[in-house]
Order: sequence, then C-alpha cells, then structure tokens
Amino acid sequence: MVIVIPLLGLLIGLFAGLLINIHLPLQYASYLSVAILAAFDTVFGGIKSGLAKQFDHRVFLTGFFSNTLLAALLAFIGSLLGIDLALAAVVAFGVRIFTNLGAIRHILLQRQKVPSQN
Amino acid sequence: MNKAARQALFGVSIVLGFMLSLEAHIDRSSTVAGYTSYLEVSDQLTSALAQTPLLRTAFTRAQQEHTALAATLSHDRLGMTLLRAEALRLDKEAGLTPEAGPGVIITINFDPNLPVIPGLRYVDEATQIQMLVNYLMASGAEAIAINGQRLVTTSSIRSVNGLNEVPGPFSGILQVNEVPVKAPYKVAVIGPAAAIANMLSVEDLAGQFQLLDQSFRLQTFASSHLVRVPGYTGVLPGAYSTEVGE
Repeated sequence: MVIVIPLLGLLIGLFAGLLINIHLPLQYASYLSVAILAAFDTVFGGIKSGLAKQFDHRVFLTGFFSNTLLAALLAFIGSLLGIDLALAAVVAFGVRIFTNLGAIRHILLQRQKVPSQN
Repeated sequence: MNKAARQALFGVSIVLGFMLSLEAHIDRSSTVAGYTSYLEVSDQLTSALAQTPLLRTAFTRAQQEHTALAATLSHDRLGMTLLRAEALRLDKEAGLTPEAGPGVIITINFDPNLPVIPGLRYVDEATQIQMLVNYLMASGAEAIAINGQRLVTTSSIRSVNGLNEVPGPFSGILQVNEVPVKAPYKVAVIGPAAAIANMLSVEDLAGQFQLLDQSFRLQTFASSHLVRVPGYTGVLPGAYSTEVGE
C-alpha cells in the first residue's frame, strides 16, 4: 500500500500534466530539474519512513515543499551569481536519494527475511 | 499509515507527476533559447544590442543598392544612366578610377649618409612598405599609390631578391601589382593629411626607416586636389577564374 499510493498519484499527476499541456520556457528547465530531484528525495524519504512506521505527514509535506522550492531558488541564485549551485543540489539530493533507496531495500529485505525465519 | 499520511503521500505524488510532465514538455533541442542562466541571457542581450546598429547600417546600404539596381532594370535612357552611375561608383570603390584630393606624399630612398648597422646584410623593403601601407589605411587613407601603382584589395607588394639595383643592404627595387618599382619609392596618399601626419609622427615611422639606412621624407597637402593617384590598370580577379555557382 505504501508503494501503490505514490505510484497511483504519480500516474495521475503525469496524466494531468500531459492533458493540460503547459509549456515551460527552456531557461527555467534547470530550476525545474533540481526541484524534481528534491521532490524525489522527499518522496523516497516518505516511503522509507512509511515502511519504518515513522511516517509523519506534517514533516513530509513541509519537507516536500520547502526542499523543492529551496532547491529551485538555490539554482536560480547560482545562475545570478554565475556559480553552478544546481550541481551542488544535484550531488546533495543524489546522495540522499540513494541512501533512502538503500534503506527501503534493507527494510523490504528484512520483512521478507523475518517470516521465513518463523 | 493513517488516512492523513496516505492523503499527504498521494497529494505529493500527484504534484511530482505534474512536475515530471512539465519537464517532459520542455523542448531541450530548441535553438530559440539556448541559454540556461541569467548571465548568458545578459551577455546575449548585450551582444545583440551592439550588433543592432551595425546590422541596421548594413540593411540600409543593402536597401540603397537594391533601389539603385531596381531602378536600372528599366530598359530606357534613365535605366542606362543609372546603370552607368552604378558602374562608375563600383569602379571608384574598386580603385579603378584616378583620384585627386588632400593627403600626403612620402618619399623613401636609400641614404648613404645614415650610419650602417653592423651585420645588416639585407633589408626587406616589401615588409617595411607593407607596414607603412597598413598604418596609412588605419589612419584613414582612401587611395594609395606607390610610384604610380594604385593599391587595390588584390594588390601585392613583394621583395625581388637578386635584382639589387644598389649594392649593399638596400635593394632599391620592389614588385607592386606584379610590376617592378624602383627606388625612390614615392607613396602618394589621399586622405586626412593631418591625421596621417600625426600617426606617422606618433609611430615614428621616419625613425624606423632611418634605422635601416633609408630616408623618409613627408610632404603634407592639406588643400584639395593636390595629391593625384592614378587608377588601377592591372589584371582584375576573374581574368582566368570564373565564379562557381552553388
């Protein structure tokens, strides 16, 4: 259920976006990419917390919006200053995503392992 | 997982899906906006602003040429007159017509009274004259002739080794427009006389020539129609070659 809900939401969001057909100018592409990466990080963090029975929807929601907006803002400030701060965000969120994925994998494997021992 | 948590996860997933669809809509191969930062946009804008007056001038000139050529299309006396005027203008621009006007005359020759630099065996006069011509063009010269040989865009100034008229470091002969030219070299220049004289003084051209045993005499003609420069009479490009169409 923890995996099904996000997948369903993702499909609905994709379908809605493609249906509405909004075209974002190319110069905003890098900001959107970084924001998506931040959003993925939060979602994977949420899935991990859900599996570990530690999910708090307030932490999740505030984390999602603040991370997404801050990442895009960081990339924008970087372009203003002439420094590729988007790259810093990509590295930071990339590491976090892989850590969360690793944790999810461990939890799922642990769950499969526990019944077999019984 | 309680209901609120499920709703939060569901809502966030929808937003993420929507963002992904926005990303999918972006045409990254578009050349309309090939920049990704504010600085690049600013640079491109500055460059475009700098190019605008140049392009505007080029456009106006092209329009004038188009108007002139369009007028010559009429097969009557007016058309013929305009066509002749256009041909004359092009001849003038190409340096095929004699010119007269204010300017300077520079005379360069071997001066045996100047001290010889020990070890100096040969002076490349062509390089020196080419340098002088470059300086003259840079200071606004409109027409230049060396001993009656008019310089045009396809002109050449070459040293002729083995044809030394004078024994010693100074050969006393050059090839201008494929024609041998003997010293003294008389460089007739039509253009802003004062500006040319100033440039020659600032760059110390006389000193540079004198260092290589050559006298450098400058005559300035500020009034109009004092310096005369003949038109180019040599072979024009296209005598042997033909333009290849696309």
